[in-house]
Amino acid sequence: MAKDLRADEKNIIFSKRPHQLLKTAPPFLFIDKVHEFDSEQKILLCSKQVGYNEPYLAGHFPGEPIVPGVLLIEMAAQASALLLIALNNTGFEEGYLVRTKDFSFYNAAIPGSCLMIKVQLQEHTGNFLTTKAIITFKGEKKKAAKGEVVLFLR
Amino acid sequence: MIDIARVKAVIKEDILIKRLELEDITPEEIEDNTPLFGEGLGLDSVEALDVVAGIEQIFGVKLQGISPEEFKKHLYSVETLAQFVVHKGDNQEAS
Repeated sequence: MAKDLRADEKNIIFSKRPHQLLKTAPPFLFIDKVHEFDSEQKILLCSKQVGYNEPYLAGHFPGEPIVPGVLLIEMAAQASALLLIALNNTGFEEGYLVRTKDFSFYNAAIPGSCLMIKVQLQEHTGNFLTTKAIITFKGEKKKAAKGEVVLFLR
Repeated sequence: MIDIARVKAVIKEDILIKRLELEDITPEEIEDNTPLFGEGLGLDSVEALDVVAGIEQIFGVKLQGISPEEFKKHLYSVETLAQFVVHKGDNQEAS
């Protein structure tokens, strides 16, 4: 991962922050920070700190806050959009989630969890971008989720 | 050499009708030059992914990694898709 790091530092993915690059905004921004980008392996690693005051936790579930699986998928989708931006090293890219494949949820993400979202490009066919995502807990080997997403690029 | 008429029949029956679950249409009613997307057969753009997966599974021909322009060109109709399969299939057999 360390390879070519200095060159990658010039990438827009590091000079700007996720909220400046993604179309989504809080409370629907689910990436806090991009940590690593490997242009050869086409991998992006980013994180999301789950806060105690995330609005959806009040209802999912009352008294037992757990990040919904669909939002873990959304994290994978947002990370994939950032991967595309990093690969092209351009500004805004418009990608829409059109398919999810084989998502599994392993361990519950709760307030205080720091989620590490790693996405890797699988294929880019026509206007469709397929990525493989794995979400783990920072400093642990435990997985939160794994699966694939397909974005349609406009 | 793959028989193009056979390829077209498989695309219509096994991919378009069975895999994509097109209803109210028979293979005979699908014209070779009818556009697959938009007007014509009216497939949704996301269904292109299922067509690509079907082509790979049945014919062993990969469309993965092609540019948006090539993608549109080859997935325009049964005719263009069959031509792609036949020529790409020839190349892959030769290599």
